[in-house]
Amino acid sequence: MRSEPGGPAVPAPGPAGAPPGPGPGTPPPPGGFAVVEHQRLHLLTPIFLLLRLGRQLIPLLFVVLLSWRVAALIPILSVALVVTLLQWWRRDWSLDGRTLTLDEGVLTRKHRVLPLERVQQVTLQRKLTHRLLGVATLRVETAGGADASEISLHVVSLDQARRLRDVLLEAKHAAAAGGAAPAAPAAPAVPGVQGAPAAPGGAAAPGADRAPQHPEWVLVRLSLGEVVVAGLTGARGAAALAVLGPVLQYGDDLHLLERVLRRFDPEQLLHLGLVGTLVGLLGAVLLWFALAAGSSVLTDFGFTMSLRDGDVLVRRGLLERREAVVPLNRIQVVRLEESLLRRTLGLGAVRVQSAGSARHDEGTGRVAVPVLRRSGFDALLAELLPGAAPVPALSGHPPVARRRALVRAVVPAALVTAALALLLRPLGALALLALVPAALLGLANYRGLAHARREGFLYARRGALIRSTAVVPARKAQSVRVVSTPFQRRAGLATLYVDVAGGGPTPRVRDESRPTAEALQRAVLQRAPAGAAG
Amino acid sequence: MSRQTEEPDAPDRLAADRGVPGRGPRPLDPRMAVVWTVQAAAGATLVTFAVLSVEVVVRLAFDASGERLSWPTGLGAVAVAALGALAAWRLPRAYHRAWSFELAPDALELRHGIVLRVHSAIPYHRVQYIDIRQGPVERALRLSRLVVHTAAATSDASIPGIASDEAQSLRRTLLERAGVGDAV
Repeated sequence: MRSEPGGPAVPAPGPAGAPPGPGPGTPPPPGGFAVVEHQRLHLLTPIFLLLRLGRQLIPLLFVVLLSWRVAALIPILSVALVVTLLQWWRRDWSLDGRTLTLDEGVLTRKHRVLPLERVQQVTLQRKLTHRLLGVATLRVETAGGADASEISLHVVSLDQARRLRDVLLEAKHAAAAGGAAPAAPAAPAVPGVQGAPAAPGGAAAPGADRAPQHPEWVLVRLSLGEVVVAGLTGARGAAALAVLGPVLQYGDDLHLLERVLRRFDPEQLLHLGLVGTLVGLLGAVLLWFALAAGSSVLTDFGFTMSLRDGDVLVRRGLLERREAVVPLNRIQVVRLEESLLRRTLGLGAVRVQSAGSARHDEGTGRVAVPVLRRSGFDALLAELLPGAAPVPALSGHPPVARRRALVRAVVPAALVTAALALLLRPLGALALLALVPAALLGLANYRGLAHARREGFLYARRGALIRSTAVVPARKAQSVRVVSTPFQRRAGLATLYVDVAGGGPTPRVRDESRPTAEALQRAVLQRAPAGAAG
Repeated sequence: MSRQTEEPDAPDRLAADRGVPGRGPRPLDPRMAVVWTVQAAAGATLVTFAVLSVEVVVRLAFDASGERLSWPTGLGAVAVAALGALAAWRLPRAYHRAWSFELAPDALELRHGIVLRVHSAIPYHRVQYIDIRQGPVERALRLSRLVVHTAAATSDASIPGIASDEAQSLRRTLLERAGVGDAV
């Protein structure tokens, strides 16, 4: 594997150290490769392309296997092989001091150029097959979120991927610093929350090959136990389904469910009796918890969030190691999310919203801490949003807002229950009982509303079942809106929205008195310094 | 923002009441109400025809089954048309009255809406680029719409009802304040 053509030839600090075009602007990145000319992807790329193609062709292959003989597979597979080989042959990437270029296409050629200073996020993705074969997919994203704004190197050798990632980030910092030497770290050595720099000799530390002037500070590191807690207390149901999904999908092809049902007649359940049913229920609950914990371990095992050179690095995953990098100055909003259960346990989760990561919010680029002690949030916040004060005592909203919250919660419920009560005349009236929890939810929603403003930061809290506290730097505000509905106006209320770049929910202060909302609007506007980069 | 209010190459028509900074909020061009009226009338016409066709279908179905409808065909369509006409007459004027925009010292400020009332402020340095758009009706009346883009998709920054020959200079003024320059 090491004898691939491009692999060893790439790091050429000597001759390649003098970039042809850029001149004085870009110093040769230390320890990296400054110029790469038309490098093909890894030799094993066709295998991965074939696997991907194979997954898309599963229905076709299935049909072929059922109806024809196996021999029919040979032409199909050979065509696929030729296509993927051609794709690999006709795809190459280049790197000079300023741009990353990808040329691809067999019939239609596509030439994409990505200026390094536009790089938003570099993600290194390693699925199980990647790890077995020692390769990785490197995904480079720019702002915008459109397909064309992303270059994906699928696949390159792990070694190369890491070096390339470092070079990209390095070059980006150099470009961002106006061509200054990248020796001075953008984030001066603020000791991490847990204080200790990541041990560079650590077993799997990819930073091992980095120069010592780029220390890495671990902000959050989760133990296996904490990851399990995250799974048990979090909304991992959906994630558990995500694990089950593919199994069911392929199981469907194999008529798995039918077989299970044939062997295990549901009617037998009726003969099990009370004890059996209870045991079954208990088993189901245990299975559910096991799935939740398991899926959490699968996605978040070995979770670390650390700081390096003004970038936030997140590494996680058991089988598929994911690594996401978000530049610190691209962070738009930091959210503390506390579900009811976690609130009672003094726990929470943290979500980081950055410019340009909308599309991968749930994918590889997700930057979030699955679980965290509530008491540790302030320290983490100060690292993620430099200058942010700890979450202050938040002031609640005026009492008229309670009525709004009640109405918001009760009216939709009332419409539904009234329809039920009318349609299912005698018994449907019971549905009216649902108005009580709706009203309680509305009251809880009101209690969830709070906000505060401290030195250029807005803290806005909302939510009842999941209480979410958004921290927005005023300097990241793209625009500020005060919006009021007729109902709000009657109560003298309004909602303030702070529009920020990138995807995700817009931070808002809902149902605050109109003068306060407008004062907040002015405050956010005045604090936005001219020329701050978005 | 200590930038001076300089208007070096702005044409003379950018006079005192024409969006010169610091002059307070200014309304949209009155012809914008006409545009909205035409659009509302067109929408109401479409809905009227849709209702009418539904009524005709229902009538045919009833005739086929031998029953009789107790109301004449077209009643709903007439009601919708009346409501639509009323809305098309009243709402655009109210909407026009509710609309104003202002080139404040540090931000572009928009106020609009009669049901959902919005006060939106976009700091000039957040402006990324500005589109000028015209619909068919707007083109006929020589009006333009300035669509101001920031990095946030949720920003609400579109100014309708700018006289077309002024739209360019307003756009230039905004971009100057954004520090972008017309060349970009």
